[in-house]
This record gives sequence, C-alpha cells and structure tokens, in this order.
Amino acid sequence: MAEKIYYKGVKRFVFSLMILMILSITLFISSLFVGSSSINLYKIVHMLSNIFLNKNSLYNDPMMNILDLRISRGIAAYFTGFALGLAGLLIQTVTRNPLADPYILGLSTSSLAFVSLSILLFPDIMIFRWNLVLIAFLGALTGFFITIGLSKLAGGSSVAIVLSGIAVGSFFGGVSHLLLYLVQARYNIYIMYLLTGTAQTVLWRELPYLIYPSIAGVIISLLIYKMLNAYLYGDIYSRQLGFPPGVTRTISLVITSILTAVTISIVGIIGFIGLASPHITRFLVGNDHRFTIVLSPLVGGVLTLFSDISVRIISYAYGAELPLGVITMMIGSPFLAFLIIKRLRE
Amino acid sequence: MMIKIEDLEVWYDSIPVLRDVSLEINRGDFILIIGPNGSGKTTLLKTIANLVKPKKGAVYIDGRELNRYSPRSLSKILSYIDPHLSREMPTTVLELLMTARYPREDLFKIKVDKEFINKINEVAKILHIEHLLERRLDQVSSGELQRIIIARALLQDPEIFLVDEPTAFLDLKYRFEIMDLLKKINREYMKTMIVTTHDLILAGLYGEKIILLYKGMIRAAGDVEKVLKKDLVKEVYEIDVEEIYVNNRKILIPINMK
Repeated sequence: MAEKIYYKGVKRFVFSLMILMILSITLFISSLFVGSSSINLYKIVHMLSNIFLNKNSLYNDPMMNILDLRISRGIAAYFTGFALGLAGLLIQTVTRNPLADPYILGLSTSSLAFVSLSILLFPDIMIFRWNLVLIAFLGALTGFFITIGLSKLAGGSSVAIVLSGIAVGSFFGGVSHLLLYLVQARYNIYIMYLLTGTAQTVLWRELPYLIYPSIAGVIISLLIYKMLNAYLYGDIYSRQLGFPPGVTRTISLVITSILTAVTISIVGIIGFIGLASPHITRFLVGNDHRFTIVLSPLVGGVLTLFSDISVRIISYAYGAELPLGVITMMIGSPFLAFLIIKRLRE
Repeated sequence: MMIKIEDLEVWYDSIPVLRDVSLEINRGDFILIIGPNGSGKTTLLKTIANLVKPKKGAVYIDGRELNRYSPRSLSKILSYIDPHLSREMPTTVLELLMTARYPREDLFKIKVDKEFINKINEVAKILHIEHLLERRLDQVSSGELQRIIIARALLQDPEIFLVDEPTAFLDLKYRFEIMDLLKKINREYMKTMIVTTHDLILAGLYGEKIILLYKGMIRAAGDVEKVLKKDLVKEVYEIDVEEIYVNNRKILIPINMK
C-alpha cells in the first residue's frame, strides 16, 4: 500500500518534471518569434548557429540585435518566475500559510521602497548592482518582519497575515511610487517600470543576478528538505526530530528575501507568481519538499514566461508596451480570491 | 536508558509550573502521569524531551545531562508525542509518516529505503490506518489522527516514548486499543513509556507506576493502591469518587462534585 502511493508520487514527479522541461523549452523558443518585428524560423536558426559558432559576420544585422534582446528578455522572464516560484514555496512553508507570497506579505514593495530610496539618495548605486541587491534584501526582510509583527497583534491567523501584508504592502507601494517619481523627475531616467515589473529592459549582463541566486537557492533548499518537511508540522515537532526550527526559518527566510530582492532590483514587482507556483506544484506532486523544491521554480518560470509572451502579443496588437507585472496580477488575483474563499469556508 | 530527574523547577515567564520534582525512571518502565489541568503533566514530559528548559535542576539520561546530547542524538533516544500537530499546510498522512525516520537518516539522503516503506505498511496495519495513507492530514478525524500520531512514533522507534494525552479525543474502543498498544510496545520491545492522561478509569486499569502531579509538585507516586486513593483524588481533583474492584484492579469512578 505505502510503496504504491510512494512510487505513484515519484512517477508523478518525473512526469511533471518532463512536462515542465518541455514546456519551458517550447515557450522559450516560441518567445523568440513573438514581438513587434517578425523573424522567421530560418533566420533564427541561422542567427543562433552564428551565435554558437561565434561568427561575427552577421553582427551588424539589426535582426541580430532584436534576437539578442529577445533571448535575454526570455531568460529574464523565466528566471524571475523561477526565483519567485522558490521564494513563494519557502515563504508558505516558513509561515505555514498557503496564502503567503512575497508580494502579498509586503516583501516586494518594501524591498522596492528601499531600492527607490537608495537610488534617490545615491544614484550611482545603479552601477553597483550587488549593493542594490543587498539593499533590496534588507528591504524585503524589513517588510516581512513588519507584516509578521502586525499579524501577531491581529491574532496570528493565516488571514490576519494576509491582511497585515496588504496593509504593509500598500504602504510601501505608495512610498515606492512617490520615491520613484522623484527619482525620475530629478535624474531624468525612466524607472517607474519597477512598479509593475518588466523583463523588457533586462540586459545580458544583468542575467547572472537572476540566475546564480536562483540556482543556489534551489541547491541550498534541497540540502535542508528534511528540515522543511519536519517544519511543516510545527516547531515542537521539528525540534523533537532534532531540527531546530529557528535554523530552518532563518535559512528559508534569507533565501526568500534574496530571491525577492534580485527580482525587485532587476525586473521590478511581479506579483502572485510566488503564490500560484507552489499551489500548482502541490496539486501535481503533493507537499514533499524533495519534489516541490525542484518543481515550484519550474512552474514559476513557465507561468512568467507565458505571461511575458502574452504581454508581447497584446503590446504588439495595440502598439503599446505593457508591463509584465500587469498580466501576472490579472492572472494571480482571482487565484488568491479562490484560495481565500476556500480557506474561510473551511 | 535510565532517566533521573533531580530537583526540577520550571517556570513559564514568571509563573512556576513545576517545583521540587525528583524522579527515577528505569528502562522498560510503564509510567502514567495523572493530575488535573495545569498540574504540570505536559511540562514534565516536555522538560524530559528537552523542549522546555528548567530553571533549576536537571534531567539525566544514562547519567548524562540532557543538554550534553546533540538535538539529533537525543531524537534517536526519545520522542515527545504531541497530540497537537500543525495541520495548516496540506500534507498527506504518508508524508507525515515518512518524516519519522529522519533522526536515523543522513540529512541529505533523497532516496527512501524499501525496508522503511515495508515498516510503514506493517505499522499502518497494526493501527488500522492503511486506508488513510493517501488522505490529507487535515481531513482525518481526531481519533484517526491520534492513531496516525502513535504510528509515527512507532516508526521513529525511540527508546523512550513520552506520550502526551494519547486518549484525549478517542472513542472508548480506541482508548483501550491505544493503551493496549502502548503497553504492548512497552512489554515486547522494552521501551520506556511515560504517558499522561486525564482518565482515572484508564489509570486504574493500566497503571503500574503512577505519578500524581498537583500544582506543579509530585503529590503521590507509586503503584495503583498507593496513588489512586479516595481522599487523595478527592482533594486533588475536587470530585467525589467511588472505589470499585474489577478483575482485582482498583478503579476509581468519578461520582460528582465534592
């Protein structure tokens, strides 16, 4: 009996992993075709082979630049979702709250508020990206602790956390808006896009900021997957299995905040991916972290890349560039509504 | 595994919960801890499990103070069996049971032993929870949950079982079944069993060594005859009781308020 259920779980994991891999690759390839100027298949293959064979003969081709931009944009969108998929999973485990998400709990906007303030005060910081990420990280942590503190005052239920998060998130959202407006007015740089993140502006050299922390986050989380599984059943349960819950909490919270910080400082606020990805993942393979840590980032990546492709299609059809965060919010909010109804009915 | 408790004093914030508790528990003992609400039963178990730090005194296992064991090695020796698991996050019964072996496994090991899965089957059969394995943990009844929790403790397989209120939410039938099972584990595998209960009838039926806690102190300790006395129970529980004998065992039946 037990072995049947267990191996069924393993099979579902392998199957989901394959499907997600295929989806990721398919979406990425199709993302190269979508945009305001059309590039045909032959041209793309030709140019890609040039990139890999390192021939520079086509380098002056304007199409080459467009393809270049599309590749970096696709990778940026995918890894933003990847990072948020993991961040969402970990923050749900840490708060033991299936409604948690870096955006809903106010981490994203508090992080952005810190980033905006530092840019306003020290505009040079835009060049030193790691410093910006560090400030975004501190901002995310600040938002988290204010939200948790507030929710404890409000009784500590799972809905109290969400409501506190909304209060904290709205406050920092307003602050960010104001500060970014000032930055824009003062230094004459376009930066308001951070409010509803976009992958359009991401450059090749910025991609490592998204990719390395994401991969490192997955590896570290996998190393503590047993601690995370034990943590789900309560602090006392975790401790009696020999895993100090504070250690699990600290590691997961640091990973969550770093991943939120990199997405904030590179692409801006992308809401709800961190909420939806873990839920879809649990629907696929249950709640064993040995599986979810691998899958939730992939689900996040696929969701975000899909959203970005939709954004490009809409933008192309109407001739205006829409931000990515708008689409994830439109998809994500009904999802949250559904979860809240389900939760309060129980 | 011998447990020695010396002059224990535990405070929660500024309230004393346990005072002057000294005890010796031998390997293979079956101990029932009784006492009214707030008498310190759970705190005593948690202190033995090193989940609560004493203000004064100490707990020794095999002559070594609790603090000198690493959390991981301690989790192989004893298990505090908590009736209040957090069930906020959706997980299945099998997922919970699979965590039971973590103290004995390498932290980074991903693969699950076939032998352990067989063991899960075996234990699930004993506790009649085979049909629940795939069920979500927040969708089982409290009686089922109690059996799942005991099953998990069996899978963890410690030397010392610290079982907190195992019969609290159970039907009469399962109360006996769980107590029988705990006794069986105690007898057959020589596991030390320390169980708290509210149920004076069960205490009479299953008690070997009984500890009566009252206001954080040991009011009486010893065998059934010594602890389950009419006036003692009247004083501590503030109820009237009647003594009856069934199969040569003394049982106290609560009658009404004093």
